[in-house]
Amino acid sequence: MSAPVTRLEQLLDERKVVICCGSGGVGKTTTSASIALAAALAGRRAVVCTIDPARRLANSLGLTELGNEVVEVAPERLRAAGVEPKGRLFALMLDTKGTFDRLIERYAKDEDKRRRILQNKFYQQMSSTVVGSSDYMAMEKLYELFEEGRFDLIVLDTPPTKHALDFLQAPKRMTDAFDENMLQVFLKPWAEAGMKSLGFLGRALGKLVTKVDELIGLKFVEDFADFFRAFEGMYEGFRARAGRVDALLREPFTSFVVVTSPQPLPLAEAGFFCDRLRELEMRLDAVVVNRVQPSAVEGDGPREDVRARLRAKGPHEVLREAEAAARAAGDVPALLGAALRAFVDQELHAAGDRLRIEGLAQGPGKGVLVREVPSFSRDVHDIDGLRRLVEELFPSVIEGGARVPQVTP
Amino acid sequence: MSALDLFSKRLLVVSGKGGVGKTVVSSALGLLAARQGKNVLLVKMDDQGRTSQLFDAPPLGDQVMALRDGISAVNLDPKTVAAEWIQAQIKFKRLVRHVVDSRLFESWFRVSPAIKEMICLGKVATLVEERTWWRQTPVWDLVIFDAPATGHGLGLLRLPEQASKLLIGPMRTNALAVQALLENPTLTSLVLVTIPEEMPVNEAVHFHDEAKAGTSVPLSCVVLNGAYPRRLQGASPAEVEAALAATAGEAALHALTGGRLAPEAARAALLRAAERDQVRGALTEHYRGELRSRMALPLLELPYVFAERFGFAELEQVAACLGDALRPAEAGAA
Repeated sequence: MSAPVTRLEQLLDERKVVICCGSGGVGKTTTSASIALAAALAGRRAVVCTIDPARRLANSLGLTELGNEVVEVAPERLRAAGVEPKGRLFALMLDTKGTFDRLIERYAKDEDKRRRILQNKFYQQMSSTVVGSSDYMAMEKLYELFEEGRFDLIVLDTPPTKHALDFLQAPKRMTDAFDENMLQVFLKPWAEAGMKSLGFLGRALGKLVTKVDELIGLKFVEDFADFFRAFEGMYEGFRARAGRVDALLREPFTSFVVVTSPQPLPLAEAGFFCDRLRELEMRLDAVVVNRVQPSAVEGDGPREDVRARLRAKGPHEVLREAEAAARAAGDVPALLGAALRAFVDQELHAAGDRLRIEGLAQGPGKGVLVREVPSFSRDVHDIDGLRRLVEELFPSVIEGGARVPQVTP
Repeated sequence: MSALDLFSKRLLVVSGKGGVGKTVVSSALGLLAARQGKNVLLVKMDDQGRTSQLFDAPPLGDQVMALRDGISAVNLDPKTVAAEWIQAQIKFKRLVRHVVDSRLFESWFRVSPAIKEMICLGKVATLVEERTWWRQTPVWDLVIFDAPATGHGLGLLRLPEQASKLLIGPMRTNALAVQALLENPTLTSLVLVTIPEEMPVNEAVHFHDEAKAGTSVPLSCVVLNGAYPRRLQGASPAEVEAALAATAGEAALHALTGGRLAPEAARAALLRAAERDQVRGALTEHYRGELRSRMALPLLELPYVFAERFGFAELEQVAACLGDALRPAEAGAA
């Protein structure tokens, strides 16, 4: 495995797949879109696959509906935001159910089986609810795009998973669920399977399983079983594909970027993600921390001095002393008091962000490129906002609009 | 319209998009209610250690644990809850474990749509109904459920209704009971949490519209968390600069920075801070306006907490603000 990148620009040249992950509400979608935009500006054909973009961002990219179709972001839209693409930018919104349906159509043995699955109540529930299946379908769509071979760089935004690891394990989970042994159980009636193979204990268990059926609702179980029966003959294809998806995630040109904010919960999840990616031997290239409160004090030395004072005396005492000094020198206009408080509050906020980010950088994020994006005055919801993100994350791409210089590893 | 007497309910469901501070808001609600003499239970799903951090307590487990006086917490583990539930229905206790540990159950549990959430909602309802055996009074005066941020809008709250259509038998009865509890406005209130940012505000409005349109979910109020104060009230940069450059300003800056910053550098830093303060304050004002004009609900504001670390002291601060925010609403409606 080659070394992780030392500059984000390397992602654009040295990787073919970039997967952005992190908890919800940390700017994952906008970060993904800005990576794809940077690649397009640097002369590549890039596509961003988004899961659930804000309406305004989607509109600004020209994505009108959940179409599962790759749409080119018109170069005029980019020019209007003040950037000149040397390459091309494409985008699509993931349609979980549509992707799942297509997968079924691809592997169904015949028309009858295809219909039976697509009309199965359990299948419809499973494929359309967000729980679980969108994780796998995001991976599936990624593989589809990769197989098409139309793009130099594919950037994938991932669904916000409560358990940061859910989607990484999605292909494996899917194959487990379609395991042959499971098949055995579903291809025969429940009770029969239990009694034949297991003797007395088996019979008792079989009864219990039947009882559980009643508890959870027999109809549901019937649908479930029918779904698996209709699936017969498709398992091989399905499993092989899930295996290939998993292999793609481990390719040397596949990169993971963990996106987070400086808040305690997202940072904890980001750390969890870093650890897990390492365990799974997947390539963690960078951590992007969005919405970091910048310090108003320039220079590391002076900033540390101000922080040390705040820590030693406490913010209230520091403020009290400043106001007392002002009173001694004249009167204290309301505006001055307000400005002092704004300054102290922001420095506290910035110091807290710094402390927590350091915790990640020295802990689970050690050895990985950690890039911070200061909080903007507005949320990012259009191409103009994406451009500002690119300026922060990929400064050399914007400067002079030149192609990213090659970095020797 | 009755007063916003949140603490006279038996169940508060705290809902909102990820990253809006649901954990802090539900913890603060719990702390405030406990200090008003209620016996409170905080129910979490997938707690990642944040609650114990906020209360300086050991990590939560699947057993109820006391956090502070009058407030306890539990972290629901869907699989344990499911095993418990099946056990309550079936008498062969030893066999239950076999079923629950089997691969079949595991797979069913993993791929079944929203089963984990449904089972945990059922557990929440059980906790609300739990009574002491000696006096038959409720064990918990108030249960606060920090709902997981699952996807869009009402999702989780609509689950019992949808499940009751799909299921039969005891699971269906269970789903119907949960639905009845969630929709009962004398027992339950839903608290929607958001922050002054584009996506969370849109999501909250969407949630509100959906709740008003098609359901009887008793949505009681919106909490605007992390509201940024507008301390400089739109003063122009020139005015701020003048205040800083005056003799009193010079003296204040010198004291503020301990003389470690050159006067010009200190002035520049304070100007930058003032400008950011104005921008953030204006944003909060904008989104406050959006929430007011697009929703007909009481709006409770919690100010942004500026601190290097957010611990119990900061939680107490938020609880105090919440108390203040609830008071005028009560007085106004009475």
